[in-house]
Amino acid sequence: MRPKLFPRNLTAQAAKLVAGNPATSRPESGTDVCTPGLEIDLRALEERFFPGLLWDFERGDGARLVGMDEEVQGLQRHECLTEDAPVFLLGLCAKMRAADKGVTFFRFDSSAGRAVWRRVRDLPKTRVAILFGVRERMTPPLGQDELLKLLRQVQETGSPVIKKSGTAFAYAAMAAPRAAYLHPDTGVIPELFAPGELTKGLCSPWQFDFRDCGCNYWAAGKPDMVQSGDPAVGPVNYGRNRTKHPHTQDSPDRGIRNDAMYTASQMVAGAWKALPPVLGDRERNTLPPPRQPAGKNLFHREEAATELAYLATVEHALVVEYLYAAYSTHDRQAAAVIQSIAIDEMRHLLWVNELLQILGYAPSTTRAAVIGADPAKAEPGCGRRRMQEADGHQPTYIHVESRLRSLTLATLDYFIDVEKNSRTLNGLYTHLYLSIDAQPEEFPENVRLTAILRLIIDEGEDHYARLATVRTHLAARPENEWLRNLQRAEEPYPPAYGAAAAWYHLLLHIISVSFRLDNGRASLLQMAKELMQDLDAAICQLQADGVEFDWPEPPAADEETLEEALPRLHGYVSRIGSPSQRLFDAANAAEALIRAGLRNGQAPLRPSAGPCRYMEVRGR
Amino acid sequence: MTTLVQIHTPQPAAHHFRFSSAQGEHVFLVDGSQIYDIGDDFAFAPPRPPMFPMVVPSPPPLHSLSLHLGQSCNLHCGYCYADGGAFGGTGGSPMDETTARKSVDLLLREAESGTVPVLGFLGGEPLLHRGLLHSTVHYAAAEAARSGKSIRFSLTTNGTLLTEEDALLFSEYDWTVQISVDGMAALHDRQRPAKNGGSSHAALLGALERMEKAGRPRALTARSTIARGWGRLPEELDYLLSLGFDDAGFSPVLAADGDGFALTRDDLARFLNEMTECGERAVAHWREGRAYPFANLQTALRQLHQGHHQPYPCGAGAGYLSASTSGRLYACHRFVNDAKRAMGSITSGPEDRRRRQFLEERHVDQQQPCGGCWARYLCGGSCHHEALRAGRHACDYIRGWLAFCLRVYVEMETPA
Repeated sequence: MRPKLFPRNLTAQAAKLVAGNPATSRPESGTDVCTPGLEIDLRALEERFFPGLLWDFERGDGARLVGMDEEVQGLQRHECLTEDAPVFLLGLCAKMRAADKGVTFFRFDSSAGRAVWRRVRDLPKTRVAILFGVRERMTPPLGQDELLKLLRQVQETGSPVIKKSGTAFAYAAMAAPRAAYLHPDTGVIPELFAPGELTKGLCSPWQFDFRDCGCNYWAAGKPDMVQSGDPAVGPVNYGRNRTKHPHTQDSPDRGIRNDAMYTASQMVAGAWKALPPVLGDRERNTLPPPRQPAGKNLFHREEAATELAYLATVEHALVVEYLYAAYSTHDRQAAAVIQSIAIDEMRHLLWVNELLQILGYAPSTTRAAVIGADPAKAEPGCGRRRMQEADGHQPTYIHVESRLRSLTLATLDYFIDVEKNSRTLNGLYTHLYLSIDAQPEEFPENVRLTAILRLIIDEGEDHYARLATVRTHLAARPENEWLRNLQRAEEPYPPAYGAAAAWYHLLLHIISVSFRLDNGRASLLQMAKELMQDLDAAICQLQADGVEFDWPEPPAADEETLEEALPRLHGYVSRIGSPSQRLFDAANAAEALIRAGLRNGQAPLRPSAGPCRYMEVRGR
Repeated sequence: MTTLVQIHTPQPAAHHFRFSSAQGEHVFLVDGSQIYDIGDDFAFAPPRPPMFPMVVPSPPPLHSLSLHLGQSCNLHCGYCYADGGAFGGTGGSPMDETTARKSVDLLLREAESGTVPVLGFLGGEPLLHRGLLHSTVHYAAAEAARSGKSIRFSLTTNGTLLTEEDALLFSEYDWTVQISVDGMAALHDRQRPAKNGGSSHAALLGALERMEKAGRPRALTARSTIARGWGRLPEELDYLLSLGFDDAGFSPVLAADGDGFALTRDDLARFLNEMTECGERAVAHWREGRAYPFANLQTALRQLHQGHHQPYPCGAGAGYLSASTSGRLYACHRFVNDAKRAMGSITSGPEDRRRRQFLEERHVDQQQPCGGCWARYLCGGSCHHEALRAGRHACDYIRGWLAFCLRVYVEMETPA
């Protein structure tokens, strides 16, 4: 039945107070708890495990009966629940697994409440018999055999046994199915639990009782400490005072961290409000608005291919930018992190080309001139469309020239900026995802396409955090301590330079060819991965001579036929001065696959709009 | 000379409004626009202090700015608040490029970070100044991007001059394009005569086609001004929606320079009847799961659901200001060139002292006879410009319409 005063609209709902619900349960006063299980105190669920009875397990002297219905199986509340004679749960008998043939007995003469709770917690949804009573009135106490016999009898017959000592209640044994905590059809917590009952055991930061309780029911959305993604750093201190230490991402130095933390009194006074939510292992001060499926700005097939061809060139450009930066430092830790991000971007380069191949388009392995390029600034005929998001936001494109930068702090800031800027890369990937997902008739291969896009979108997430860690790591020392001092390569180029360039171009050629073949891509890509070591060796050789490798741009050859691919392959191999067995094996395998492709008469792939030229490039 | 002193008799303050629906009995509380279902024994005592106090706010950061590129118009609508485009005969030269750019700079500088400011174009007919409009929009978009912000644009136009080039601009950026359509061709052409004679209605149909071809703006809406002697609203609304607008709505003329345009009390009673008829038509469509974007009702239902309550009818003088052709700022587009409502300039920025004064003076709790009205925080005291010019004679209509919307809200929320 509807209550007499029922709030209809949002202000009415916000204003109406419901008896029993703590203020913390209102959305506006919550702490953005988003971890399932932390919205309620699970311990509270067991307090009503036996129909009609309410138990308190949080006591040292046992599980005490603290409430009951007016009458439960013939036992009257006024007889049983009195102030002067506490009633405890003394024994339990049930099948501990639904498949068990026999029942298990537990006796709780002197067990602490938590110990009883554990047994109750383990009960499956079966019939359970319990013994409860006033300890002092059980004279003489029930022996083991008597207890077992009584509980088994109650369990089997279902008839309760109630004993008195004189006129006062002494003990009772009764059986019932263990209470269900969720409605079997809807999964909703039943009305059995009064408002506030399931949250009463939670800690609230503004009350500061979390200091005392230690039960870890801390609001997970705004933690004070979390484990960092970087194993070298240890738990990350999110409780730090940002006004005092705005730039401290984190430090393994305990002194610095303690100094950076809010004091307890500051936290009580409201500093906890400044703690940003932490999602996916990093702080987020703002959340992107929830995306809705776009209705009228979706990419059609050809536009999707054009965007993918562009994105592949961006991934390539980022690979080279990251690798150049990684090779510019002696700091191994920094170089390793930057290199690992470059490897992620390589994987993205391959995935994007796989998407192009699924759509039936030629691969895209050249290098973007502009990162986050604004389609509005593309020269005519490019085919890229400025996208408009479903929520009406016009995305901002950073539109920055791609160029090689040594690993300075400014470069790291630029990398962080690029990775943070979801409008340019992730925004575009997300828009592609939405377009493909929403238009199965336009993209019949949508299941495969969206699966790959999801991988790319998910992987982009943690680069920001990893780069931030490198920045903190390097910021403590002057740049000349970690930067290598290398000369530009100039003509006549040293032989090692020519070899490194040939390795780089060969690798790209193999990647490009692999996406033009129907068969054998996996083995070719595996070979390319192994050949990366040779490229690395060639660059290290060049650096040993004090010369940097500036990643000369490869020729555009993605739309060549397979016939044209063969001489190109041979050309690169011959330019590598000291060929290894691995190189010969790879070249032979690639040649065999290309010839097989030629024999099978593979259908040519459609050229996409190709790399675009952009006007008004902004340098950094 | 006799001085007439008008004495306002204080009225008992209205705190709630009871109404019935197919769902039963309900109450609307003025404090916070809360809506409850109630029983027979309902009695109400307003909490003191109120739960949602209506204080005079400090002037907020500028959120939208409308530009008067020029004050001329190619139509001559009799009811126009801008005197048929002449703005009280002051005329004057159009806005220059520097003023337009400075206005954009001001908006981007003043807008709170994290919000998406709105740059509006009103007039006169803004498309008479096509070159300036285009260059200002490109400039604003580039400046916003440079400062890492987004920006939205809005245009109120009669649609008669809209070219393909304009349509492309509207689809390229984030635009709300609002077209003034007074109904079917005959009525429209009678109410909105072109100075050069031709049919303004036929011209705007051409504009719709061009926009459809170039890609629609994010929002394309129709606003129909209802003056005395209008046709029937339900049929007009059907017609407007058949033209493919994202939504369509009506605004009655309450104050006009020309004779015979503003609606009388009797007209307003008929207007209310036809508005509710339109509303019932919308509800019937929605119950069958079909769209029927009747803007007046949709806006009201959204606001009722949110518990919208504010002491002003709009953002004039607060988050919204209007820049004249010379770059002076005014409380809104209707007050342009009204020295009493001037609020700074694009070079010196918004003048907070005058904004604060305006907000204090125009607070609905300061208006008569609003204190005794249960709808005061929904209506906000009705359009400042119209109320100052012609008083408040549409209150019965406003209450009647809101009572209808309240009933629809509770009935729609729990389908019968």
